[in-house]
Amino acid sequence: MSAFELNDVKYVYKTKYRDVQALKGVTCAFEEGRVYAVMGASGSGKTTMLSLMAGLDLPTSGSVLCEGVSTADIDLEKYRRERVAVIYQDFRLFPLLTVAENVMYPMELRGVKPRECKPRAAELVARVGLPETALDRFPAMLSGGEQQRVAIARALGMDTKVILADEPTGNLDEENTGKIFDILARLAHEDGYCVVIVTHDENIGARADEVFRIRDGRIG
Amino acid sequence: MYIRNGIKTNIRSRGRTALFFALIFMLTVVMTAAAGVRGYCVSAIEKCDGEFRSVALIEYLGAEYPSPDEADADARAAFGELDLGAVGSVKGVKTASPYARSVFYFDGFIQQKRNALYKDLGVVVISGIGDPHYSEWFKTVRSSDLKGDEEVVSYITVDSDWMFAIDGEEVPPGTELATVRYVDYSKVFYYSSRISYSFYSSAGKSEMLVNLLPGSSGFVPEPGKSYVMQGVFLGKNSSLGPHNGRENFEINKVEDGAPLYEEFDGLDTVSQPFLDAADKFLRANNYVFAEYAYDIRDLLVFQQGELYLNDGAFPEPGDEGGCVVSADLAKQLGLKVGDVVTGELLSSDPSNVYDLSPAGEDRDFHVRGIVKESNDYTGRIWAVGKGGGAPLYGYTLATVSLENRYAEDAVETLRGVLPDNTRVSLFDQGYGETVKPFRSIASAASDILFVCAAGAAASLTLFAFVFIGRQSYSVKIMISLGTPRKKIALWLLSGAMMISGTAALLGGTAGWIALPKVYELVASGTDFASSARRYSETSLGVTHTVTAETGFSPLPVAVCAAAVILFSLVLCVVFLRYAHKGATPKRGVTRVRVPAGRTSAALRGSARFAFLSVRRGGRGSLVVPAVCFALTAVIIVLGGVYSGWQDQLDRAYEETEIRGHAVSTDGRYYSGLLIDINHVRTLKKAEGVGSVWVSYSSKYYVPGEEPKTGSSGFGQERLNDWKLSGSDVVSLNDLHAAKDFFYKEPVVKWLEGWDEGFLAEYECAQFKDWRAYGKDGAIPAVLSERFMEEHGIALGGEYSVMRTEETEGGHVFDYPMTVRAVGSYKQIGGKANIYVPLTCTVPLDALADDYDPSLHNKRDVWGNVISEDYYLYERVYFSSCRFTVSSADALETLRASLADHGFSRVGRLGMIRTTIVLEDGSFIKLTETLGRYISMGKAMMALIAAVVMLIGFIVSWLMVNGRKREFALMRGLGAKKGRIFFSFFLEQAALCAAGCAAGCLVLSVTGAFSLLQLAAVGVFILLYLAGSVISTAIIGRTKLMELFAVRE
Repeated sequence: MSAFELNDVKYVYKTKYRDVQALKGVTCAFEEGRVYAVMGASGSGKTTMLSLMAGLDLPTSGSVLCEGVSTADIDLEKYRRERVAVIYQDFRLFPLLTVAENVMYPMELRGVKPRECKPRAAELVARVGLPETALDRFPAMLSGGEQQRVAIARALGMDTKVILADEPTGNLDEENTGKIFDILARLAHEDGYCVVIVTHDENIGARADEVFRIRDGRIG
Repeated sequence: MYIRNGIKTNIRSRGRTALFFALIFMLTVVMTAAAGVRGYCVSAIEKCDGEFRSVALIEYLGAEYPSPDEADADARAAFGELDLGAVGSVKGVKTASPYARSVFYFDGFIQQKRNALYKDLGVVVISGIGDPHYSEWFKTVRSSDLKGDEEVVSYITVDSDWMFAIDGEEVPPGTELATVRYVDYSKVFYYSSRISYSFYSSAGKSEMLVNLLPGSSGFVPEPGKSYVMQGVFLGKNSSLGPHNGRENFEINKVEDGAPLYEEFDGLDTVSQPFLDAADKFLRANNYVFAEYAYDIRDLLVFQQGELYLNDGAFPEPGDEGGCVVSADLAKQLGLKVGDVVTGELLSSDPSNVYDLSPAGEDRDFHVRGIVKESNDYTGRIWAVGKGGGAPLYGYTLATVSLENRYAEDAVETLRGVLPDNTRVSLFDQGYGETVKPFRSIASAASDILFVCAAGAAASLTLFAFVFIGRQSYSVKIMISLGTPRKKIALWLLSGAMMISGTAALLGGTAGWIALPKVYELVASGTDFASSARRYSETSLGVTHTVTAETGFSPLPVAVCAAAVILFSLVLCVVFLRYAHKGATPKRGVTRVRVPAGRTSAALRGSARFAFLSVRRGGRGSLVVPAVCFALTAVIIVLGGVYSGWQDQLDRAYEETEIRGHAVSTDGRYYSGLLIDINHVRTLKKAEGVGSVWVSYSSKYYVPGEEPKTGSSGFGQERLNDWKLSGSDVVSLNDLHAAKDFFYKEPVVKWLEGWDEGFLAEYECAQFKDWRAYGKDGAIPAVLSERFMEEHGIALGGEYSVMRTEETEGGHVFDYPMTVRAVGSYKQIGGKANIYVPLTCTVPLDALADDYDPSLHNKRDVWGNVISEDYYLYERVYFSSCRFTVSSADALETLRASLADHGFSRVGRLGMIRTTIVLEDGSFIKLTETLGRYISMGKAMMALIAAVVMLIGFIVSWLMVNGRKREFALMRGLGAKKGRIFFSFFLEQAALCAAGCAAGCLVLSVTGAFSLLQLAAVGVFILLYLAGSVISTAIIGRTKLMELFAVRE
């Protein structure tokens, strides 16, 4: 069974003036232990596809199946909390929480006491290559690459088997892009994660295990 | 292009544009209506200011029913003490005219009103003197007591139904009585004679038959001779002369310089003193009173509309010598408007205004107007100037001209600066009553205007912030495209001003259309409100009616619409700078804000996130407490002020004792009245009346202190006048019923074991049954300290006086009365009144609550009264009546009850011809002022509630809205909605509570909080949190995909 499966997924943005069909029947599947790159031009629908996989909304038609269960049939809050971890291009860290607290947050959402999740947060931060001193720092004190590593650490802290990354290297230089990809690739290949990266960086596409090219809302 | 784009951009944002358009439109409509109503009321008050004339009369509290001719030493002393400089300096006093009345003689004027000292005097030639008629009298005696030589006129036998007494001893039924005639041949009663010539007689009595009464002159005529003599005309029906249809003339010394009589031997031989006396009488008896004032329209007679002009106009204030004259004076002297007439000033004797003599000064009067004919005002001049030639007579000390709008306050102030025993009465022609509803409506309109203006200011600020201030992104784009700064301004301002300008103009137009109808409503509303001062002392005198102005002024509409547009423009320009600032980075330096602190493991769940956000929020965490602190302070201070007003009002209602009293129909006199006992009973039953106090006054004198006036008829009249001008024996049920204690609380030293209660409880038997007369012994009484000192009376001591009463027919009789001093009071003024129990006039049960009129009002089949005690219970008339209002809350009920029972109001006769006035001036003033403050306070509270909600909402909205990304992230990470909600809610609640607590703590040093203040703070917190909840809920309902699309 695939980790993820999209069956004829369509999605429409309604505006005052007209409806915009972002996805026009996307069908594809994702397996654990592999790195996928979803590539396409701007406005092709790749971020919409990732958002639906992340459970931010339900498709207008078609289905998104996670381990064989449609997202339409489950509690999306719980789904987002326990089944998928998302990494955003702009990192999306809580500005008033330290690095450690940001990483601890999804653990706390699952009911783990702050004191108990703190060591695990330290371990995850170390795993993404940040020094221990970074734990008490606030996001505003970190560089873009460092913030993205924290975002990856937070995703790891969610203990899911799926990591969805929306342009995780979009704001990073070549060196940092390489480092971030390495971390994600390790997670897929060593720890069995299903890593889906939305990107238009051909280098990442070239290094991914499989590439889906999306054009005008369809997998081409 | 820029204008088009600016307008189009906003038109396309339909939601917010419609919201703010509606808000500005509604606020402009309400502001326009409020400003219009306020302007309407202000112009109505200004119209009243122009058409009403308020004056205050300063009077000395002297005689019961004061005569303007009285020569009262105490009144003169008070007049001397009167500081007109202080009166004139009181705010609201325009001018203060002291008493100024002079007497003049105008050649050719005959005074029709013959009430002068010399009115009945005569200097006449008596001829044809006939035989003398001697004094005779009649007496009833028992037939058994008759002496042989007595001339019996008739016999009667006493019937069993009669009560008859001779020499104080009851005569049993069946006794035969005889009426005996006695004649005293040693004393001539009168001579039949004729007046053949009058040197002076006020009504031109000459060539007429008269009864010549020699009195005590010793005049014995020689047969056939004529005499010139001075004396008094007693009238045809005088009790001192025979009743034979002729005028009675008594020889009497009326002018010291001339002999009583002398033989008449032709007009040329009459001695000069007779001619001088006649000349003096002629001038003095045809006196003309001239009343002076700075502005004669302020004189009560004109101010109250008793007199008005038939011709010409009133002289302008300060037009020295300008005058208006009475119709009879103008007619007799042939005066027309524009004429100048010269009068001879006469001096009055200090003891008698009519005892006149030439002052050796002439004065010119310029006739500016002639008043209507009036029998009450003959031989009068009202002139601008200062008078002279006479001291004060009567009790009116000064007339004060007042500015209408400050009249009530000025009178209150004057009461504080005037000498003891004087009173100030306001005659405002109903100004206070007329403008009161206009003032209330204007005040309410001002409050509404203020609230709306504040609301508009807040809304426009928000509007400018949303439509201009938050447009940094657009500004940034325009700047990046090289758009000139002016063009950017044009773009943004045209869009914003299109909304606010159109809304304000349409709002103003709607207000314009609605205003005439609103004016009509106000006009009808003021008619309804004008009954609020019924029976109040603040509405004495005549009431002038003014039609409310219903003219329409477009000014408020224009001002409100222009103010909204201008204010929005100013705010937009201010926020334009803000938008530019937000879009333009500082050159060379970027400042990164980093929160403080280290990783924490404190707390769990929502509380943890809220705690960390509060702790690390930096300036953001200070905004909310600072705002809450400031608003809490405002709420507590305003709440304290409001509570203070409310407490004062409650206290005023709880503690104020309002009294009322019966007055004369013009409201000026409150004792010496004739108040029917049945009206008093009705008053007692009126809802809202507490205690009722009444008094009955008669005169008394100390035997031996009466003046020597001789035994002639003229002398008897003078003696009776003296007796009736003395001090009073006042029977009353409470000292407050006495005039002496009208304005001052009685201070009495009591004999041990006695108190004021005896006045209502002590029963005097002799006044219930005449046969018990003299069996009561000494009557307990309260005497003046001065009188007791002068007559050597100690507390507990007894003293006898003669009580004097005048019957309806004018007959004066005395009877002895012994009083026992059980209390002494400090005398105010010149009268040493004696206060005795009310039962000296009416029986104890006459004013009982369960009084049954049928027991004392029995009548036979023809309607004749057959109850023996009818006159004791039913035909009693009190001299004064005062009462207390059961509580200030009952005031309105009492007004309605008095009206229902038909009691008269001052100037308005009702079914019951007893005029009632409530002494509620100060109370009304206080409660109206506090009421205005409280209604303003309520509006302020409403405003604060609205502002608080608005600010709470805006601040919460800004605080939460600015963190949409955090919100989105939490949801994206799968946090439950409740957890997210509480994370933000707890943070806001903690910050708000901290600010409020700090505000309370700081202000607690000013004293304890009232429940109202704490409740207001509580409401503020709730409103703030409501704003927080609403904004969190709004974000919570936003789709997650949209939230993730939000830019920071």
